Amino acid sequence: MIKLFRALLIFMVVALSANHALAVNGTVTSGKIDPLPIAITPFIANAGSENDAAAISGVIANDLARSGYFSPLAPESFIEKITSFDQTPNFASWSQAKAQALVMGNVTGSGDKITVAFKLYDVNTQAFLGGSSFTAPSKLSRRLAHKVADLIYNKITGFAPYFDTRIVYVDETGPKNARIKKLAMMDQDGFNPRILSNGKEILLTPRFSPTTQEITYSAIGSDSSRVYIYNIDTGQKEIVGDFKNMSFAPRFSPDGQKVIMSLESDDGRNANIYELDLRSRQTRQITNEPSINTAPCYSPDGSRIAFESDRGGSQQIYVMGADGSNQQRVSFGNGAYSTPVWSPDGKYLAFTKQSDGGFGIGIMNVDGSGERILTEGFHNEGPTWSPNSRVVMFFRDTRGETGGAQLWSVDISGYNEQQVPTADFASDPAWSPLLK
Amino acid sequence: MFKRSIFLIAMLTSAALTPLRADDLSNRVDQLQDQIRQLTGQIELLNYQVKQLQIQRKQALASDVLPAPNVPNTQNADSMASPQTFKRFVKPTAPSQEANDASGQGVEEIGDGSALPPQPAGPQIQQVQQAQQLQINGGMNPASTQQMVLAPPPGTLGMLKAAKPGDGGFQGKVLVGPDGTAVADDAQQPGDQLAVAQPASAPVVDTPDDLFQRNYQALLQLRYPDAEAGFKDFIVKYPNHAMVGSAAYWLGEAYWAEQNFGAAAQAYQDSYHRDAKGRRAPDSLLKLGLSLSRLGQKDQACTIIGSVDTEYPNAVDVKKRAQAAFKREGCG
Amino acid sequence: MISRLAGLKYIGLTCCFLALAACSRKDQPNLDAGMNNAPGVGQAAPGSKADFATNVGDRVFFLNNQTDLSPEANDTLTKQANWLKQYGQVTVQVEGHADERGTREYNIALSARRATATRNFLIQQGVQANRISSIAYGKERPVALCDAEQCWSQNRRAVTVITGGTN
Repeated sequence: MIKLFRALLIFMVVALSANHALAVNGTVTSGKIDPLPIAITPFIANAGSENDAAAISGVIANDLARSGYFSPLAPESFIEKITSFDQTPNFASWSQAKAQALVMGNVTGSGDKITVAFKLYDVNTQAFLGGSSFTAPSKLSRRLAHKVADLIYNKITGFAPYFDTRIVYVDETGPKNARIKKLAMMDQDGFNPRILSNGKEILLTPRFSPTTQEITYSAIGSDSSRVYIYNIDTGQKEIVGDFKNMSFAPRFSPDGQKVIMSLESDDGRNANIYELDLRSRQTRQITNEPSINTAPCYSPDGSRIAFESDRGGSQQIYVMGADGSNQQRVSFGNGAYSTPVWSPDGKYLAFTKQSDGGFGIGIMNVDGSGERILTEGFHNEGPTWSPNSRVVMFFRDTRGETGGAQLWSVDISGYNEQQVPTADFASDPAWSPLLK
Repeated sequence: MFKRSIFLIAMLTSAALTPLRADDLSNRVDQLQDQIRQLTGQIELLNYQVKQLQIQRKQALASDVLPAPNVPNTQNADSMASPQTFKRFVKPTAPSQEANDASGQGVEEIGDGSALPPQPAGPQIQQVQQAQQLQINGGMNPASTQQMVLAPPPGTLGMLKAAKPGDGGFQGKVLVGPDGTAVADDAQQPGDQLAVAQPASAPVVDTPDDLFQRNYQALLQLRYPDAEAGFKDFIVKYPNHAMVGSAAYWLGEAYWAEQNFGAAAQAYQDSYHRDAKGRRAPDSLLKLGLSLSRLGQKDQACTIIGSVDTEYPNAVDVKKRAQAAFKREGCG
Repeated sequence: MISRLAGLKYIGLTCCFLALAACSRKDQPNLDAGMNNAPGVGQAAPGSKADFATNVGDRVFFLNNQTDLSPEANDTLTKQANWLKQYGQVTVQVEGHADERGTREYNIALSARRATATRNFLIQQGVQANRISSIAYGKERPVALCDAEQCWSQNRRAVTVITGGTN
């Protein structure tokens, strides 16, 4: 059954790249997979680790459930009680509890270190699917749990992991006409939020470096908008480039050596895309058009750049070589297209689409074909990809004076839309690579 | 080059429309840039449309040369087939002729054993079509193509026959009516003709059953785009209808017939997902596997084909076909 | 094609005008003070910030996704320029703004275009360039918070803010 489950998952990937056959008005109407019932037994703890153990089981269940591919069973439905990590499970009893997969775990704490071990079984075939153990400082117990969840997710779905990741975003407080917008970072599941700036500047579009050690963002201060790089470990920030004109919409290159961004033109009418080499500090102009060219994003191999431009009268998505060669418009649907973000596997561009007065999030092939709208509504904007190219996160603004932006995620099949919990309003999310 | 000419056009038109003022040079630059952008957008769209037309033209040419198996090609039929075959594609402006052509076997009666695509007549056509099918299907389905070449049975032109009775269902042919009655491959008689399409003015009644039947008729009449649109419509309109699993399955069959295996896979999976215990579920699972195989996803295809056995131990007929497919697809 | 566009723009302008008229009923103290001559005109000390905001009008508005100055905007900016020429020590910052119905990055550039169009007009009218700085706020600082065109049209604006030379 797990084999079939996994085989069925592949069709979505295949069907996505093949076409959008079941798309009705561009909205996905098919592609749902029934989540796999999985029993995550309470992890066994040595003395003093009971709280950690309970928390870890909870993090794992939460990760798996949020992915949309798993349905963790309520512990009350368990018939057998696992009392030892070495116990051979009574598979008939787990089958009776309707579990297709079974996770057993063990948590041992010693000093300020914690070790988590787990085993994963296929209940029907009674096969041992895998297991592992991780050790880390105990304050990182949540990350250990994410690692375990990642392995379970990978073993069963065959998709690359993405739970042990972070989101950088903008924390929003204060009234709508005077929002305080701060740099913030949290775990992918919304836990461990940290505010990283004081809110004196209007902070926008933060993005991780490939090492997840730095964040580049733009901030509107009292005289201009500038691009910065913030070092997470040291808390230091520096201005990227010494430009007299406004700079904004930055993003790192895949090798982390360059930052690409928009610079306002000298006449103040337009914006073009520039690249700054962080080592040589050399700036190179990539586009030179009498129009607004912005939201640049490298392809994962660094050879191409997707961006948006209004050179044709409305915002549309273009793709060009990393040197600015061969600029080609790729979006030709009905509406305005913007904020292209290349998927980490290189196959798709995620984008914001404005049409019929609404704002949707969609994905398309890099040549503009195969558009699929994943979500539509009053205002959805600014997609970012999970490192395994399976999930798109974005922000959704709600109406009215008391409304505000919140973070949401959706599977690229268009299913499993989930809010990402944040304490305050939140916008401009960017997903980190898988943490090391 | 393009750009310069646009700029000139913009300059000229703007100069003609706007009286010169000494103090609004800046505004005029803004206007010019705006006009350039509008024109650039129009040129981008025109280029895109030309490109799309070229692609369509290429596809049309390609289909002139290589008609898809199982899809009697209207172009070929028009140019090569006997008058009977030709008339099949003529819109029913002359009902009397159509009536003559119709065999009266009642293909609209789903599941009566005659639900088969139209048959072009004449030995020359037979050969041409067989050769073309071989080209396309060779390597994908050796058993079937071989069977067809060695012993082309009468009355099955324009479609691949299954290697053995009960092993069919892999060639995009409608094998089973929605009521579950098997449509025997060999029931086809040489004289069978497809009934004529319903007049375009036929009243459209929108009960779910009528919609389903209309779509199914479209499928039988090889009006695949109509069938696809119709079944999609059915699925959207009646997601909780008892026949929704079947609708998704037939949608898959329409795509399959067009060799649109990605779409077919999605539709079969949709059928399986919507009604995993439904009448079409075993078939859907099997055809999902076969679609994935066509898409080069062999491992997944084999897993899925292999699982028909265990998932549906009571679906005797489908199981047999799945077992045969398992071997034929080289799943070991 | 161009004349069609011009026609559309005209219609658009009319709409904007109507929207503004509708809005002026609401409590918007700074909104086009020059247009609705409310009581209190002339009470502000000449040359003061209040004088500028009340008697001249500190802001102009734009059509959706547009950066052209409307005839009304030209009037307001001409008054601004005259006032700034009269009080030659005053320095200003032109703030460009966009409504919320756009994406973040684009709106920054769009609002910069609006600030630039406004600043250029003031310079053409004879205000020294070094007295006028500009900044683009994108959609980050709306003034009207409803979710309708009547608010969005107020948020698509360029505001001339006095930064020095008076109080």
